Amino acid sequence: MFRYSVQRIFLAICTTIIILSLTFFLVKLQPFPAAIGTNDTKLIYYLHQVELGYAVSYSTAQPHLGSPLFSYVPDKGVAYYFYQRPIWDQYCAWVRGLFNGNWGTSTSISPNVDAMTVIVGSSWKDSRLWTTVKTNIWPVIISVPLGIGLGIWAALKKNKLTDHVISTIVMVFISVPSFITINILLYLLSYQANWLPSQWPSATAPLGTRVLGYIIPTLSLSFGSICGYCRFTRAELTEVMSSDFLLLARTKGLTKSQSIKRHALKNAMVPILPSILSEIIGLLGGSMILESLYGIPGVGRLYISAIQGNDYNVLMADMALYTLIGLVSGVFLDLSYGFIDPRIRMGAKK
Amino acid sequence: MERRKFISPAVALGAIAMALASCGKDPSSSSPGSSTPEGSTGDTVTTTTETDVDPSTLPVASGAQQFVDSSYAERTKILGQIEKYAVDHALTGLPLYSDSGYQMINPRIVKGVNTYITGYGFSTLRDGYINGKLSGETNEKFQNYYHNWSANDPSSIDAWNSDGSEISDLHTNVASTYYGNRLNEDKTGYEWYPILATQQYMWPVEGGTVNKTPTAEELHRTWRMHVRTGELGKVTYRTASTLADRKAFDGRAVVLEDYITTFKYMLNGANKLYRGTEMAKKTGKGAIVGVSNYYAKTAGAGVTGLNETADFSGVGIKAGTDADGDYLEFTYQTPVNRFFAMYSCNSDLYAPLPADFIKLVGTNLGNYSSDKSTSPVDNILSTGPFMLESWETDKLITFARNDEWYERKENANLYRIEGIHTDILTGYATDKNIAFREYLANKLDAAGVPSDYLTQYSTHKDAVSIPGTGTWKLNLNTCTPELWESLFGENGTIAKTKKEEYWNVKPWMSNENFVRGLFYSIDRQNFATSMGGTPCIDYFSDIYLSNPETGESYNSTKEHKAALENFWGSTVETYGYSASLAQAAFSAAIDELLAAGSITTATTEMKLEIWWMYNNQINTEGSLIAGYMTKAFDAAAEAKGLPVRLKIEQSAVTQWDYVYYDHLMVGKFDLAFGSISGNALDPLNFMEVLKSDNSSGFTLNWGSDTSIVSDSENALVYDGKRWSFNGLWDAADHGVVLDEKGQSLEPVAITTTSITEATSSITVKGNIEVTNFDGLKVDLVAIFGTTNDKYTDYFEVYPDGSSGCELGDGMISDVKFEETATKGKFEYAFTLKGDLATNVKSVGGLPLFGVDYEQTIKGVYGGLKSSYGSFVLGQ
Repeated sequence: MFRYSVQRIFLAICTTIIILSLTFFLVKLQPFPAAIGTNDTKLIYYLHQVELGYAVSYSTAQPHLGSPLFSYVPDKGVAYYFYQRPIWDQYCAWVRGLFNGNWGTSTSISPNVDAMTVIVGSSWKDSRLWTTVKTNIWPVIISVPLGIGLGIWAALKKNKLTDHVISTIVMVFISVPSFITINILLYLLSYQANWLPSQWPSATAPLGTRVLGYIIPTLSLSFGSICGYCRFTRAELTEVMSSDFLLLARTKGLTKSQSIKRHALKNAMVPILPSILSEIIGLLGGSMILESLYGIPGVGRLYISAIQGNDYNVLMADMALYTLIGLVSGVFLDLSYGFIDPRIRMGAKK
Repeated sequence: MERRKFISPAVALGAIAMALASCGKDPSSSSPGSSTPEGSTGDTVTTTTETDVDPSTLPVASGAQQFVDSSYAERTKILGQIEKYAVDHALTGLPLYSDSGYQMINPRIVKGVNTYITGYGFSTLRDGYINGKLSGETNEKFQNYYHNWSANDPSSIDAWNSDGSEISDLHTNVASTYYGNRLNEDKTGYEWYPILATQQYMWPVEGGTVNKTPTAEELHRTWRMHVRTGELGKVTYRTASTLADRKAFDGRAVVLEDYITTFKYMLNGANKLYRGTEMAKKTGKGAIVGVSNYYAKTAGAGVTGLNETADFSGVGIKAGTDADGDYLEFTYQTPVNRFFAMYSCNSDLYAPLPADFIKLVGTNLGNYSSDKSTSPVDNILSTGPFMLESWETDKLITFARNDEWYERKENANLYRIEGIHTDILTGYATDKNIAFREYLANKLDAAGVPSDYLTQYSTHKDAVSIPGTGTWKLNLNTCTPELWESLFGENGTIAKTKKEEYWNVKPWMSNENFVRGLFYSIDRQNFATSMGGTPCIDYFSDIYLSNPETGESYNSTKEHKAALENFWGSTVETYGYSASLAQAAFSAAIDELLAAGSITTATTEMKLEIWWMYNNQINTEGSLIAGYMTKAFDAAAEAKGLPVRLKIEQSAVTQWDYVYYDHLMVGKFDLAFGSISGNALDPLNFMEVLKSDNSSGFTLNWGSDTSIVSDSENALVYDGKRWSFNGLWDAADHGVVLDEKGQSLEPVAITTTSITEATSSITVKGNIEVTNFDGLKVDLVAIFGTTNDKYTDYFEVYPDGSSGCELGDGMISDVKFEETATKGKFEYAFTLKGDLATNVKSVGGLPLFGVDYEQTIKGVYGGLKSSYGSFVLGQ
């Protein structure tokens, strides 16, 4: 098991390096963002690009570098020929920075701030990541028991009215895109009824307002999860309940309740529990649409904002963080199967 | 040429002058039929009386010309003529609608003035107050704050290093300017008044003498203003930071040196501040002497923050004390009048900063620190009526009232609103109605009415109409294939395009009647109603002023109305729409295109391509526009029994600004959506964006060569002469010397008559000829040369016989610089020696060689200019 774990972690690190390198090159292969305006305005822009390490300037044309991004040739005075800094050079500089623990500085999202600090903040209070976590944890706490409970109920009442009602509701909510759910909740609960804040409350808002501010994110994120768990649990439990070993348990004299509690649920949970773990890790990712519409200052829309603002350092730090989280969670999930299902652990030993 | 009744712009002036006279007003500035522009030169501009004049018979403007020192009224006349020419030649594009709209203002806000004042607003923060609760605000502390919103959190208030308006807008809340605007006495407009300055106007300084009563139009280079300093100045720094080292600055009085410190910080090239670089690169009107050199030197020194050892004495910004108190003195590169002297140095970027604060916060000034341990609240000081109070990332920015602000202390009726509460509504990126819904939920004090809500709310009692700041247009590419090739082809003068990427130039786009048909075909009233804008055929929005001192909008002047009527005629009433005129123009265009062979009677399709900024525009604006155009064109073709139909293809760029540099600026479009805005206080200067030489970098409409003097009935006429667009603009903006064809002319030429090579030296002889024009004064400054682009061996030879070289002393000898018996002809000679001679020999001459001179036209200094010559060894 230990050897397996080390192998998986090693592979995760390799995958992270490959993903980040590919991302870096793909992002840099985009056309260089051009400046607009007078020659002086363009000169200022490209000088800034040189300062950021994205471009290089020469006082004479360098034909071997191709066409310049911009050339500033005054009648009198120093001429500037700007070229994109070779991507490999930029990559090496970025990697060198990483070895020194330097992720670079944000250029547009939070000018002057270290790229990783933009994500994790200087303290919990100031952290985008923590804001996302505390917003997303409530949907998990609510949706796991509720979803599983409804799934069990539906499975136990299979093909009866209860099952049909639950399944119909599940299908409806699972089909509605989240931005529709958020907007409906905002319209009904905030703008019409005026019961809840229409935007995520500021940290300076009264405690009551801040507590109420969790309701819309929690509801909007919970619906999908509840339905997902419900459908998954119902399917798994229904399958287990129709299996031969459960029939055997009943024939051996166990009551229906006993057979479900002791055998059916335990077996049905094998694929469900890792998905709960996955959901908990997914807390860190945030919801781009929810955070944008409800004004939650989290990490959910940071990735898009970084791309739109050409904030490459934040983009790469964000990418690195989430690649790492994704891969580490994959490792944990794989390992968790072994703990949940002894057969998988035994298989690993072979 | 057919003679037509031509009414010069002076006729209208004459008529008005007579009307004024009959009303008992002072008509002294004009008598019927003539006018004299006010100015220092006293030169008379003869204007034409009402008469039949064929423009082609008028002489072409030539010689030394300038109207820089003309009165605002005269400059408005020039602008009117330039606009008329531009509209006639489709240089201003096809106007669609103004971005004006409606805003809802919470009834709890008592505005400073009820009617919106163009270019100023309602004066809510300065003169207004809050009268009630905002039910959506749950924090009691912010109840009496003015609640506005922003779509983004810029995470910084460092206006010195920002190129957008978001940060600048925040910075204006905490930093004052030397001068500002306030409501005038009767609250019908605004007036300028001193804030950090203490005198109403700056005073010109000539030869050390201060003139305390300058007229509005006199031009000078050096201007002085007294500023608020010390305890008596009543301006103190404020901060809401809780950090002890920052708190130490709270309440400290501003001293004179702090005003200069700001410039030293901003212009330190090593800091690479966006606005500092911009100021250093500025040339022409409003540029300050010595700034560029200081920036370059400090950039090389590499000392960030404040470079205390750098020599600031060469910069035209001085501080001093005279009998009237502490003062600042600005020396501009070219002379400006008292308004532009004030306006050019009037920026919140120049608010004073203490040197020890800059040292304390370093590069964090206005920013979060790199580890976010300090925020902008800790890293900025206020010198204005508000101070930065809190900053919550992506959520909220608040500014608290500065209760120590001197204006409030002197008048408790000013700045009664306790603070500004700026909500960051990030959802705006995906939901354009979000701010308005927040307003309706009583969480904002003001919000624009989006198009989805216009019908319901445009007539609401709390809705106010806000004039636009710009006019959206479809820009036109009316080039012929030949002109397009010369501008954008493989060897294009504006942009170079590979052969395989050439734009498919449509012959009908260069047909005047076809373009006219497009103009008349659009039902702008209907279109604007659908789009939530205001129909418009003006080039400028109402905020562009013909007189910045009085706030008179150019669009309200008779010159503007005349310019519009000349092209649009009676359709001015219908915002340029006339189905019959459009059909008639298209009909004429079809005939001409058939005659020219551009189409045949069997042609079934004439294609046009329109580029938009956003995809959704294709199905909204694009769909309507295409409908208007095809309806009018197809009707004209049908009436002729021809099968040809107009086919409009529409595309959008992937990012909105790509429409500018992938299409508009490189000529790859027939019609493309876009607009440019500029300095609303100097619309004449802004007209540079219409020049076909793209000198501004922002020319968007192509098809007419603006350097040519037209001899048609639509010729540009002013002062009884015909002008090219460029010629009149140059004359009005900074002065120009024109040849007999009206083309810009270099009045100084440098030639070499002999270059003698010896073993270790090169002796050069030659002439400099100054063409003599009435009103032109040329002062030769230096002959210059260099062998390389890095200027490491740059040298200058001066008229007094001295010389200088980057390589060191002893590189130049035997300098001769004399005027000959022929007036305006100079002979020069000098010998290059040492390393300089060696370098010149190694490259076979001087790739850069010429003469610097200062040009003064009709008494107005035009700045330092250069004329280039050829210097090749062995010839």
